[in-house]
Amino acid sequence: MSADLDEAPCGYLRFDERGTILRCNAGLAQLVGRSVESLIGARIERLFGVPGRIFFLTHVMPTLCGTGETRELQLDLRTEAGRDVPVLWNAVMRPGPEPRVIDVVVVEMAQRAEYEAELLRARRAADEARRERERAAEQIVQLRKFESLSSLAGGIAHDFNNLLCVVLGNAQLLQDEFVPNHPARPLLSAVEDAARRAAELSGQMLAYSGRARLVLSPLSLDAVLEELRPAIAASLPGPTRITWQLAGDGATIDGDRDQLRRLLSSLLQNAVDALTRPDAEIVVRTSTRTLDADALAQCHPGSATVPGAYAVVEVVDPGHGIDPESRGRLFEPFFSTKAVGRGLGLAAALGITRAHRGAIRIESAVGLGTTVTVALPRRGAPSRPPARTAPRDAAQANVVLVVDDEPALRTLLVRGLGRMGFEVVTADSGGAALACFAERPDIACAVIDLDLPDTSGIAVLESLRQRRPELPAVLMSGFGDAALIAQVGALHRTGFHTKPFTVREVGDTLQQLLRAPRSGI
Amino acid sequence: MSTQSTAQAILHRNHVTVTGPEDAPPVVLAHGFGCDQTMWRHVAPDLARDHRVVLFDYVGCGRSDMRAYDPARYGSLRGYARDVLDVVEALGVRDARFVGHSVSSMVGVLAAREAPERFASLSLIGPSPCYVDDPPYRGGFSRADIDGLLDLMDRNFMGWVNMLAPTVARAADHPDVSAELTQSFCSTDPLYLRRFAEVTFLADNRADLPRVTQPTLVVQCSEDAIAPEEVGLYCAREIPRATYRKLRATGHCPHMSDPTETLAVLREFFAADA
Repeated sequence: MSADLDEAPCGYLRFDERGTILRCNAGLAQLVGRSVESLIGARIERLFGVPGRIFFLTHVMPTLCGTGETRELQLDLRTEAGRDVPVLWNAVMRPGPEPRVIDVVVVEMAQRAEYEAELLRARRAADEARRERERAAEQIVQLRKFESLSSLAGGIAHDFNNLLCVVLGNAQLLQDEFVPNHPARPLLSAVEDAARRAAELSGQMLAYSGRARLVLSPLSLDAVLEELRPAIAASLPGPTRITWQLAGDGATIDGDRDQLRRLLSSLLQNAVDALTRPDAEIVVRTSTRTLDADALAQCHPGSATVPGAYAVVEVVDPGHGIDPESRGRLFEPFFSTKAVGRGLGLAAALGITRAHRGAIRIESAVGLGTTVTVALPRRGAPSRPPARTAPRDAAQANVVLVVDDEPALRTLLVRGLGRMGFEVVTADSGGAALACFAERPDIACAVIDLDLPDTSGIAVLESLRQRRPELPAVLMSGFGDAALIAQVGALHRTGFHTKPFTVREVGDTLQQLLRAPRSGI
Repeated sequence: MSTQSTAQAILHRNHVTVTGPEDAPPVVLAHGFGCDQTMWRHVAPDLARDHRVVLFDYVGCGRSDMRAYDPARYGSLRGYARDVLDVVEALGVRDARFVGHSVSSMVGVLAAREAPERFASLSLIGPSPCYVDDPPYRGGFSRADIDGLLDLMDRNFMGWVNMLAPTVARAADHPDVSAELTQSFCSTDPLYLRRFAEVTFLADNRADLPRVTQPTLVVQCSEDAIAPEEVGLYCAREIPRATYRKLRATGHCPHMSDPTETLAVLREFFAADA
């Protein structure tokens, strides 16, 4: 090594392609705080910390071997004292017999490295901002897709409910036409069963659309889960266990009991279906948590965004997990990864969660399992026991006004309510209903569809009650519009049925209303 | 698209090259992280004397079709295993001798599990099923080490300094390196490479080792700072039908630094396997 090279304002070294340092100058030894003698014969990797060593072996050496040089690389040399010195590294491989040798020049670049680090931080911040924008744009796309699909699902469910109402009601009426052992009865029973299953599907579609009828009452998730426990336990395959870790803190929410049962049943059934081992354990956990905006942002698009206190239920299964591709589509209606299943369970769960202004999140790793978390806004007041319904009584001869624009439904109600002892008069619009009501002072109660061609069912009821304030009435709808349901909830002596219903259910409600004290039920 | 044109599309996508006699036993050489098929140039010609040698670039690497890069697919090693399977299916290869370097070792393990009929044996050069320590398992690195590597990559790839810029003009200085080679070698897209680094160094495929059914050669280098000897021995212990060979060759790329010794252990294993 010449004295000139030793004193040059840079580090120089030569190593062979097998990684042994053959020579170096004083400048390099000084940079790494070691003597020239201790470096000769040492392995080149010793000049780097662990990250630099990986980078050197996976990038620098292959590039040198492949292209013969590496230029302007930023590397950190590790000093004897364990400090990293950023350097600019230029290397060239000399052609010749194996093992070939590599000459390297390094120049310390502490200040420039700091400057570049600043640029890198700015670049990362810009990248993060871009990703954030992309995430937001993706969420908007997802929300629009959801709105479009839910509108479609809600519309279809509404029309199907009208039709199913006719199928179900007439099947029941027809059965009454036959003696108990008549061969037509099982056939009609099969029609009725199919219509009920169709109604269940229709109900899931309504739930997904977020337009399902919600009857809110203060209740606790623990209580709903306790109600479900026996049925779930009975459906578990063999040695599968569920560990219930219920908070027991009495936290309540404003919730629709039936819809929440549907939601939780669906999550539990998915957990059971995902298991790959018969002795696996599912964990169901409830808690009360304060969720901030960041936590809510992790949830599925359309989830609640208002920070606050939430009642949380988690269903954890150690099953097969969900691959990333499927994870993005889990909440789409009719998307299913199961051999058997219609793909409406999670779609309905999302709709129910949204209708409760809650948040839902799925975390999953293939082969490790899945955790579904549902958070519903907590209310302060304690849970109230459910109201008891009056016992059923015999039919009384009463005149009922049926208002619906669907002829098949009017016919069904005329037949069915007639058999229960009601005298039925019908109207196909709001205007016809008011005229009929004026002509028939003996009308004792009314059954009114919410969606009439000329006005709303609520408006018709209000007009009727201007003439007779205590008139009992049942409102019915193909789907529950949240605003309308809230209005109905505020009305006294008023029942509500979502289509499809059976005529008997409507008749029973009318009889209860007619017998109830005037303060309402 | 017909089956034939699908196969053609895959061969183009992965820049597949095939050499050697058509009726010879097939060997698939899978390159490691950060490089491409040219890293096999010291061993492929020798193997091609009596093997049908299949070389390819993973999507995102070398001269593959970068437009085919799908972040979701290549977000795990399974996506890379899918590339291997696509290639052998497109060529109609069965009972191949798979040779994987570094990360391709685990890619091969995954591919062989997916389609065992396609692979007669596996040769894993410098394998590691998990780079990060997970006591009592020792992979050789801490999470902070891997974060440091990613930071180093960012500093070199995200700034204006680009180690991978083609250096055609300088090719004349290196008569043993052709211009074409210089252009293609390690011309991996920096951003894809950065993601590949995360996928590679944060993967954990320990549970996949006992499921390997093929005869397997574990090739361990001396003084390999990426895949320490302890990790090589772990692989040999966990893979049911494993043969362990430690090379005199040092470093992490013996097929580049000492192709002669590397070829010798491969041929010894192939002969025993045959």
